[in-house]
Amino acid sequence: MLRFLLRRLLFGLLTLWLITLAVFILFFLATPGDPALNFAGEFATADQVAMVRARLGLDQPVYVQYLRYMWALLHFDLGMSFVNQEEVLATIVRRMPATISLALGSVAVWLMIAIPAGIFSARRSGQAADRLITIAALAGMSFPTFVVGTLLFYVLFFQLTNAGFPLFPLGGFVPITRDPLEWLRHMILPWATLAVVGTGTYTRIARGSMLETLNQDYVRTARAKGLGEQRVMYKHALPPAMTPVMTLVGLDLGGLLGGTIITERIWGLNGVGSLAVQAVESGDLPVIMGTVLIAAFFVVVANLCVDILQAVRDPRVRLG
Amino acid sequence: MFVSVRDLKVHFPAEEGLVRAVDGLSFSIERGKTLAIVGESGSGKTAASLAMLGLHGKAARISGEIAIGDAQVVGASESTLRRLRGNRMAMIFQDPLTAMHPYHKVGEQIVEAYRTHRSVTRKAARQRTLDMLARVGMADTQRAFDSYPHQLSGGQRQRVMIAMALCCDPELLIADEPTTALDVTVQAQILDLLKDLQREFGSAIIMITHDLGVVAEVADEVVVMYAGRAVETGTVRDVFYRPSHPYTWGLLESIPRLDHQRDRLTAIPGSPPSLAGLAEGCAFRKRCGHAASVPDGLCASQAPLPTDIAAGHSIRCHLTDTGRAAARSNPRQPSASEVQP
Repeated sequence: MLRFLLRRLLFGLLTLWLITLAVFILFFLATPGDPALNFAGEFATADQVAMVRARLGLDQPVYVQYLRYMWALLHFDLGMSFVNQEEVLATIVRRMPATISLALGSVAVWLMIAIPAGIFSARRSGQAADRLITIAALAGMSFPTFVVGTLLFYVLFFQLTNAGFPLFPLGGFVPITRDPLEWLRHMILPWATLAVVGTGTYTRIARGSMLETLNQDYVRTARAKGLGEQRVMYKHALPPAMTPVMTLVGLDLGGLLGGTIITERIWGLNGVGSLAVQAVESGDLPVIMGTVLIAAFFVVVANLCVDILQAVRDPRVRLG
Repeated sequence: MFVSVRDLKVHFPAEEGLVRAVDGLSFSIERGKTLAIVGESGSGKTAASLAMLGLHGKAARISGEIAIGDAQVVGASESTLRRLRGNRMAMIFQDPLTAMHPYHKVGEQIVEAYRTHRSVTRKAARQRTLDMLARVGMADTQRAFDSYPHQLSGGQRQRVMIAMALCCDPELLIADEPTTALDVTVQAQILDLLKDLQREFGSAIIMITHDLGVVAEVADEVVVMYAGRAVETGTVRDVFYRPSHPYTWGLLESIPRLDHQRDRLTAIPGSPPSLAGLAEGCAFRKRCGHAASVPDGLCASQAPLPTDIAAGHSIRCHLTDTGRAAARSNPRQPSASEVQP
């Protein structure tokens, strides 16, 4: 078990390191023009540009810049933004509450709907209720977030507010520490935006996995022992059936914690996703690097958590 | 008769027609006796055994009568069935690895089976489990209790399954190919164990198998199934020494034997028919070498009814006594060109 964890941890660190390398290479290969020229401004003199270049460290060879960055990174220092000289880590941390609220909330919402719906559907496979759920899930899956978001915005914010029921705010983020109710009111529509697609996907997965598990010999054995249907379902069938769901939650939660772009845009949530977009638009290497690393970090950590959870549940993984 | 099955039918509606997995099966067993149901895959033997436990889903249409002592299975409510399952009748399966829950310790799985039907403390159930594990020949019962299925060998797993099935002292044990997934040496051990336990517990056993060696080893009575029907029913001596249905002849011919010099094994030509929308007539006729000697094309037009040819020995075949004697003296299999697809 310990070796298994260590291996996963090392693998995660390797992933993060490869990502730093990839971002650096991409930045210097793909950025058009001279970054220093961008930041020095349109009317800067050659001296001023050179000064800016030296201050940002861009006068050094790329490998020196990389080594310096990595050295700082080892001390949990993500550097300063090229644009506003703010600590990258502090910027990201400031924007995390919105991103975390969005990610955890929407995953929770879609799991709470999708798992029961998937089980319900699997137990009635082939019946009308199952078909209906399957169609609804497929529809949900095929709605892109920008369509869902815009529709929710138009109907539940715009129309409702126009009709005199300003149930939902225009957008923005209120920290849960400041006002939990307002936080909830601001988060419901963003959650729904992400949850439509998520619910569809997860319902399909939960249904398929449950159906497969219900056909397993050990479920037949459980019934042959004379166990009640509830116990067969929830003690024998459900835990193994959740394996693919958990794996996917690891990936999705990790991805969402790295920031969502469209949903944050639509609902004016200044999270990590919109920070990343701004950074890419302005060629702000330290911020790009920081947001990409944070996103990768969350993916690695979320997957590690899923692996640990899986090992706790399934003795075959633990000993393998 | 303790276990009695009368005209059992298990039908599944399917797009290509009604699938008659079991079509009019009757047999009975006394306490302490073993009945073997023999047949190829798809002959309906597993469908019949699942029907005995009432384990078929809603898609299956089941009719007929299954009586375990005073309890009726067909048409019983789910709660009645639950009280029967694992308690008065239990089942062991072909592959004990997949039949046990991978996440639970095997001891806990037995405890769960026991406590479902007996109101006892955890401690008492644990003690019962350890006793059962010892009884089925597990060496270190404490360690076995705390093992997960994948940590045990195939033979040990089947022993655990048997312990789980017998923990509530069931009156009927259904064993669905219990030795098929095991090594040959372990097979014999498991069969011996089952026989020992049967003597001790006095359960009736239904042994589902395609292995005539297993039948000879353990069975008192035999039902030979073909395409959902019992084509021959009798004592093990009837079936082995006085086999009377052409299909049984074919089965016995296809066993390798050391005491007979034979160039090659005789296989039954063709393959079992699809069970969906079976046509009129005898399901075996297309593979039978003797259908032509039955007058009026009776084999093609009418399904033969069970006929007693001796006390307790019955077959479903249109051959007359003399026709059968003649056929037996001239064991003729149809040539490949005669077998219709």
